[in-house]
Amino acid sequence: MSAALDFVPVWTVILGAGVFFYVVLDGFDLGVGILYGFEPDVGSRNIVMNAIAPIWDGNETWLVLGGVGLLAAFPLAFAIIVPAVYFPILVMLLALVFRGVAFEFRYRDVEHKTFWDHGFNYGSVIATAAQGVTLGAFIQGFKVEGRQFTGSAFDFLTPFSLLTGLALIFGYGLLGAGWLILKTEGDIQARARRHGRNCLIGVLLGIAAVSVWTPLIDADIAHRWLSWPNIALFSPVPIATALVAFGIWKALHGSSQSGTFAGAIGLFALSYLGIVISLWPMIVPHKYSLWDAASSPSTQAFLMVGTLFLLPVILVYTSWSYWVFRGKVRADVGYH
Amino acid sequence: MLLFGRKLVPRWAHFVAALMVALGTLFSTFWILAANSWMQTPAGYEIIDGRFFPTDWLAIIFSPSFPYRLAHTVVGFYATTGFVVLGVAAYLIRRRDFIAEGRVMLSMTLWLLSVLVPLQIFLGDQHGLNTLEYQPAKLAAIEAHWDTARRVPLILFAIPDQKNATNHFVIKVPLFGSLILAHSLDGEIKGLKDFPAQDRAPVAIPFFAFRIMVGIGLLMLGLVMAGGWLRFRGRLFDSPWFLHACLGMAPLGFVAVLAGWTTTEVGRQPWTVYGLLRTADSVSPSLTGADVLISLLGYMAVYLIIFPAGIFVMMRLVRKGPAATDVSDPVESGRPRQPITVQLQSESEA
Repeated sequence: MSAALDFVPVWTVILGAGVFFYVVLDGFDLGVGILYGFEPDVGSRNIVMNAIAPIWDGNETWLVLGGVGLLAAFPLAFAIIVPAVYFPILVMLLALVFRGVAFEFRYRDVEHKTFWDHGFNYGSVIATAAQGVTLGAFIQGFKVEGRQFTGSAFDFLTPFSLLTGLALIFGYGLLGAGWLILKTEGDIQARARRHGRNCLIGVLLGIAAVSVWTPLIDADIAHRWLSWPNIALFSPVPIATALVAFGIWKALHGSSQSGTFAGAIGLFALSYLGIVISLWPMIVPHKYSLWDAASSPSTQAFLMVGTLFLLPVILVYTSWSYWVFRGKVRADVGYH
Repeated sequence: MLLFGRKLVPRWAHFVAALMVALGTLFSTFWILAANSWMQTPAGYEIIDGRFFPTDWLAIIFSPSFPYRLAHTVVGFYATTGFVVLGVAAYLIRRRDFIAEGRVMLSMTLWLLSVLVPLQIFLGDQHGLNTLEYQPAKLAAIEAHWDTARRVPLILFAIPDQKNATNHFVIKVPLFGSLILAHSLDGEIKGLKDFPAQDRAPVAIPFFAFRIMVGIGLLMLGLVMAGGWLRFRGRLFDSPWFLHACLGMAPLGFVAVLAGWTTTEVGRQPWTVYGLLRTADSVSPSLTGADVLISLLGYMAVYLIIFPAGIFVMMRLVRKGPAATDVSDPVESGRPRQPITVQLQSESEA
């Protein structure tokens, strides 16, 4: 295993970008599902759902890419992390199933429309909470001996992971509000601005709590952020976060159509960067680095060939579909 | 793009999107079955410190059982869909309100199935020869053969007795076992007693699952042949019994696919990676029986809602017929209309 060809950095970038794409893209359509529960009538619910109907399932491509990429490129991390967050992942998948079929069933099975409306709404909330809990459990780290997770399947459930679960609901809600402001007009947009404000407050409280909590429970993270010269190097992150949050607040109150969504993406990018700074270069926190957990260079090289061919294809068709379905979703002309 | 983009992109682009959906699905089938086949007939690897490492990627992807499993599975999926279309066509013809559409569906699908069903039986046979060579214990379990022998009979029915390593209530055809399995009257078929008791699959499951699959395959062949005969006589669309049979056969492809997978997955037990890693040793150490039970119940709860609802929705689509479900103008003012649509409104008001 010579170090001549080290694919780990490239795979780190691919997985890191894949996870971020997933969080932003499925984040906004899950967020739309979260806000869907607040829409008062069938007409507005139809429009809200139509704002994501053509693109939501493409967004989940990135979940598959992230999961399979982790399995193939960093199998040791997959073998430890997945059993450790067995139940949140399971609950997330079942909730995504419910939410996914609701698009079609709600429209084909009109007698039970309310049931599928709830399925869509609760499915979105539960899937989001499960992802947030998974993130919290991941940041806290797992009981590991040798190459195996040795804790229980319920270790994920801690006050910290519940906090991250709740914070992510607000975070995705903010992304969803940003998307709805971009795609709708009138009353629906006004409601999205109002919910966006609540979500922004909620997610900022969450970010603040996590930022205070993690250095307190983890000396390494405290040292990473607060020792000199890191404190100077990394201080732009919280400052930029505050500026972006202020920008979103302004966009929510003004007439900006795209400001909230762009700002929310910025907020997620900064939070993501914060987590990377805290944990780098560990992929199983406290235990295994990206290099420890990597599969053999032959495997990583082989997968790279396919991925470098597929990634541009995915990016092109994703961009194309966003382009085709661009613009405001208007009230249905035939709808009376 | 395929579902919502019909009026938003040029026709050729919509057509390309449809092809890409099919192609993407075939790609994913390819890789899923490559992974599954490697676990059935591992190749191109080395073991260092108890872990598998790749040595030859082509050997890994094209492991010995892969070409057969891929062909058999893909043709099985197409045939399954074909029989659903055939059943819907028969329903529409019998109901008499979409006869023209029903006839086109029936005729075209029957041509397709006339090729696919015999092809599938041939591929299944080839897959069996491959199993005989690479997974003899699985083949012995499928056939409930306990003793290694030449000129073995074909067991049509039996109650396999795992504990005493024998069969009860056997109905068999002499010599046909060797003929079918090894393509030679004198072909040797390994028996399960050649393998330690703890390395044998639970015989009854693959034995019966295999017979269900083959039985359905033969029924399908019979239906396709009857259809060919009726077409030759010019009575394809007005034989009530044939239309009835098409309708009844519609769900059987799914049963055959499930039975086939049950055969191959239970038949390879007790191995996850055949001959190398036992299923019992593949379990995540942290996972308890209670965890698995909870998750299984979760899956069951969700699928018990989703599947009946899905079947209900599909039945409704079929009942509406092709004209009513063809939303001729799915997109309004450049925006996707589904799932809004006028239709939905008129329904909810009705």
